[in-house]
Amino acid sequence: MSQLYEEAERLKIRFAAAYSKLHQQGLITDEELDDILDAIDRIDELSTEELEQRLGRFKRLA
Amino acid sequence: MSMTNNLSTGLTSEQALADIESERRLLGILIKHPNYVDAAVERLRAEHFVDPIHRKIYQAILDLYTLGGRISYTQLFNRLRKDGSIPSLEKALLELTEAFVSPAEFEPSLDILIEKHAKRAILQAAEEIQRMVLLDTVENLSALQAKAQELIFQATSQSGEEDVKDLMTVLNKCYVQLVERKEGRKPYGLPVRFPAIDVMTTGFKKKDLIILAARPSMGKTSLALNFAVNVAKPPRNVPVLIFSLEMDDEQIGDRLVLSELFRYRNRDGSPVVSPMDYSTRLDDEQFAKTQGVFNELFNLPIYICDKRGLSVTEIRAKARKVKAEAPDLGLIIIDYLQLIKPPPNSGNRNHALVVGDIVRELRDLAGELDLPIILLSQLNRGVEQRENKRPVMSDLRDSGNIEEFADVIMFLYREDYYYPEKARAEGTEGYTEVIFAKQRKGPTGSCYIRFAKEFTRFIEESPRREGE
Repeated sequence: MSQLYEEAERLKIRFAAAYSKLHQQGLITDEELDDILDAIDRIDELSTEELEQRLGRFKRLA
Repeated sequence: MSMTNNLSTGLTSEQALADIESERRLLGILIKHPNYVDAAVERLRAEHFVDPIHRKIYQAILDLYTLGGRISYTQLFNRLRKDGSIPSLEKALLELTEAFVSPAEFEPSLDILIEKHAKRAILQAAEEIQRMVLLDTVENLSALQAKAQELIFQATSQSGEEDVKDLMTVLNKCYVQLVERKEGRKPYGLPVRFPAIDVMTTGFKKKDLIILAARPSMGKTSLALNFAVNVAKPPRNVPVLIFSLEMDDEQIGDRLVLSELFRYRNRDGSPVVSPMDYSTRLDDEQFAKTQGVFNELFNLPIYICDKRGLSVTEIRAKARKVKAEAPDLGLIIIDYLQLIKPPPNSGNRNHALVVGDIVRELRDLAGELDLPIILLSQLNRGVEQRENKRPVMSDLRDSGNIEEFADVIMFLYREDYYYPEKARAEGTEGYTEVIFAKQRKGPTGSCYIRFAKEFTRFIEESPRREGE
């Protein structure tokens, strides 16, 4: 269980770092990055639909 | 401050006194279990971390905590990203996710960081002292000694007990003292072996500032010196430090001897050695008695500083030095308040405020050294203009906030000081009223002792009252 938490946290950090790079390249704005990081932070609380709604628009950048 | 290289390991002293694993462990626990942040905030500051990245992460945790925000890796990432001061932020946070096994590691890791930090502080103080000595940056030796003490004191007082204690901790301390008192191992306060006074005070308490005030020649210094000898004598042998800003060491030494010679009487009640004999020439018997007194006094743990014009800073430095040499130092006497040199920048300030600061700093010193300080003080002349010349609290008013800061205020009053002929006629010469005008931990009121002025000696003797 603990390992799962750590794995999930590592994944979140990697996601956050990846989107931060996109921000550095000017592909997303400050507000967008804040929104993405907030969604990543609350990923356990959001439904698949909500995630799709908040992060889906950035698929094109991935 | 940079640290010197440790020759055997090649590490700087700071690196040698770091525990990076404990730092990681603690941060990992705080991020995964934010309920531990409360306990960390109490004892841990950012400077407890050696690794500058860890220091920044801890500070970010504290910032999020203070703002009431959620603490998580993502939140920390976002906060630290904006700050931009950690280039390898992703790597630093990833390392923390696997830094600990169980939150039970929190307390031991916290203790390690606090201990390492305390050791680094001592080392830094030592290095600063070394630098001051070798580069000769301080103007004179006494200033250098005072500065060195200050640095060591600051370095060694950082890991003291917590400011806010739970009731159980407080009651535990009280209970231990209660048992020690019951078993006769420890009195409540420091008795000065004048039963009338000890009954009023139950002994002078540690950390207390006691004001002993009276008009000139009333017997303040004599009583304080009597206290010093009584406390320092066997069986208690409590070390005492006397700051005499008025009298020199020989005068004090003579007074101590004379007050002990009071005990020796001929069959007709006359003294074996009178003050006049002592200050002129003694016969063989008188010399033998006096020599006996010297032998008794030689071994008493009494330290005397007779340097005039000392400031509170200098008094504090000297007191700390004596405390370091004699850790069981149990009493400090300062004779007297009005002779303490004000700080150099106090020229334009109201005199009462300056004196108030001195009194407050001395009370802080009593707390710091965990002992009672008896501060002698003059009274203003207002006393003389009243019909009833017993001192009252308002007679101290020109001397700053003494009333506010002092834990005990004692006044001395002798009727024979004002009405010598009346006292002679009534046989009440030397009878002294000790007025307890304030006692934070005891009753107010008066008790009586007698002053044998020529011997500078107070003795326990109740006054005769009318009809007795």
